[in-house]
Amino acid sequence: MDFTLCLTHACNMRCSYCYAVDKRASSMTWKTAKRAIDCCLAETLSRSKLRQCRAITQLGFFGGEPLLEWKLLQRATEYTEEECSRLDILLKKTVTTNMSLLDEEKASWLKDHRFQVALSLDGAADRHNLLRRMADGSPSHANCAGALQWFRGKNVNSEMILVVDPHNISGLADSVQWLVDQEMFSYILSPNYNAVWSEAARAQWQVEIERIGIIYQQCFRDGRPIRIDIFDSKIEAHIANPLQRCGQCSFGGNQIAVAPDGRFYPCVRIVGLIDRAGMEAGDVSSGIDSRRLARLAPTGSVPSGECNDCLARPRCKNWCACVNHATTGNVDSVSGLVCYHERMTINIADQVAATLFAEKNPAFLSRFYR
Amino acid sequence: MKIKKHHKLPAYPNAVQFAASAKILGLATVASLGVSSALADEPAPGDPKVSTAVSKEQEKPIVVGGECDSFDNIPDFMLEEGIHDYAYEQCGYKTLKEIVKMFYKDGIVDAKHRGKILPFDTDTCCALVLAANPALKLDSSGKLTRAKPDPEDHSPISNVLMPRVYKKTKEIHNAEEVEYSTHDYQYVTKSGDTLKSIVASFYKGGAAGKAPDYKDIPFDSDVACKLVAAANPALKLDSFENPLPIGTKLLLPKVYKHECGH
Repeated sequence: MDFTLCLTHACNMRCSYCYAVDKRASSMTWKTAKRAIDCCLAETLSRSKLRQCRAITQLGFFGGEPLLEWKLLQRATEYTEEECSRLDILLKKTVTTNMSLLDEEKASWLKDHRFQVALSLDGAADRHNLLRRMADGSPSHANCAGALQWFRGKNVNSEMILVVDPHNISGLADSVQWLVDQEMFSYILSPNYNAVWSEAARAQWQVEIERIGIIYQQCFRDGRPIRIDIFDSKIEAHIANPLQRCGQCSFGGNQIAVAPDGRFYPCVRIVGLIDRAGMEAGDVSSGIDSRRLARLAPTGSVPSGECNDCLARPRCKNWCACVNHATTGNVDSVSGLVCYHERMTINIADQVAATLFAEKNPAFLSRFYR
Repeated sequence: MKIKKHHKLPAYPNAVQFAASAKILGLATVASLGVSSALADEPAPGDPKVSTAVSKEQEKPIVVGGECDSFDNIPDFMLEEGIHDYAYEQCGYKTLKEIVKMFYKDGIVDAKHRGKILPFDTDTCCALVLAANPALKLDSSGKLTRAKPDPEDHSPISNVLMPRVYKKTKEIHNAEEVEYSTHDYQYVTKSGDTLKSIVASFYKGGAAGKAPDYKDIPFDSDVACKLVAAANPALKLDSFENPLPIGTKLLLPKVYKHECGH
């Protein structure tokens, strides 16, 4: 059972595309955090016993901006580490941050504690500042980008999150190139599916992804291959196993998000909504309501009907319940925009991979045919 | 925007095709890429078909496994190919139950036997193994015999195919995890659904339209029902034919079949 503590609703930034609209200055208490950790570790042990396999969990921190609650984050981490050591649970840790509060000391602590750090930055200053502003409306790039220096290189467990929006789509590839030049290694391009994507914006989207494909290829040719989720996951799913769904999450299954007030939800994305009614699955007092959680899960019926015979289906992100919920109101229904994005990225990923394969690129073969 | 279908196949091979054609393409040998030597020594010349690769694999028991978090050295494609591609060389004196227990519970045949995490009871496992080996049957003592014995063939039975099913997590890269599971599909019952009707619609004709990939489950209806029942321990079934309460959430095993020629 993986669990993410949303330490606070508060954020010191006001990114225009942020889906977490609840930005009240409401934070988790230590008592709530501890009870949530205890609940989730107990559930992890129970599930691993049922499955007769090693207990594994992932502790995540999310917000708002979780680094606003740095002391709580540290305390919760150290407590979880101690408990996992005592209970023989394999522990992984992640944190997602807007980078504005990172300093050398915090970066060092996160590295020492072997965190996977997801860094939200939209690239170079001009593009980043378009939609990512501080709470007072001022540009944020200068506050954020300095932290890149502590997360460079492929040996640091970090990944860049670039939000892709119709208003910042132009220059997306330049931003990726800028980050590549900063020696960042791993990228998540996260589309804003709630935005209105005009035909022109979609056309530009395709142009930018194609250009990113060229950057990706060049990095492999230069012997310093990068990872970009929309390419790696699609290529990997085809090569390794067409039945392996890409980067599948476990909405209603093996993951839980804990709101600052101690309520449990199936996904962190839900915690940021103002209206979360009907999506709870217990709380720190009553424990995880597994039945309720399972009832919130998708039925798995997404690919039927309109998606039948689609060759992209095994590699499509149609499973993402929170995106489905956000775009169609139904965890089982896929929006046309998601379909568009998936077909586009699969096409381009396949072109990129076919070229690198034809070139017998050693880095490509090593990564995907190892 | 409307949902549209993607019709283009990738122009680069998957791992199995690659493994079979590695030498032909002048690429690194399969063995050096971490795939079994049985496959590497004799790549299918000019014919990178999945079935060929798998039948080579069956000549020797190739087993992979270990603890939940130690999948690192296993070629990914070997994890996915089906429930039937484990070949167990029978020692001649084992009963099916003993084999099943060795294979799925204690793992004493070989510590690498990953089948030990199979989440079903011994009898269900035996049913699975029998269903996977239609050329075999059990004698009264529980030993495996040939279904159609040849009076002139006294050779020991070998290559008993052991179902390959999972309930595990695998680390892909960074912290991303994908769960390989026998239980990933969920089905919510409607009026009049019985376990037998669900199994029939799900695995045979695919009438439920939920998961056409899985309609080729290679067991008969009763064995498939047992599988579903085993996957839903909280559900008490008085009979496979009686209607289930509307809205019951059933976990449906995700199992695959290969054209393995066995």
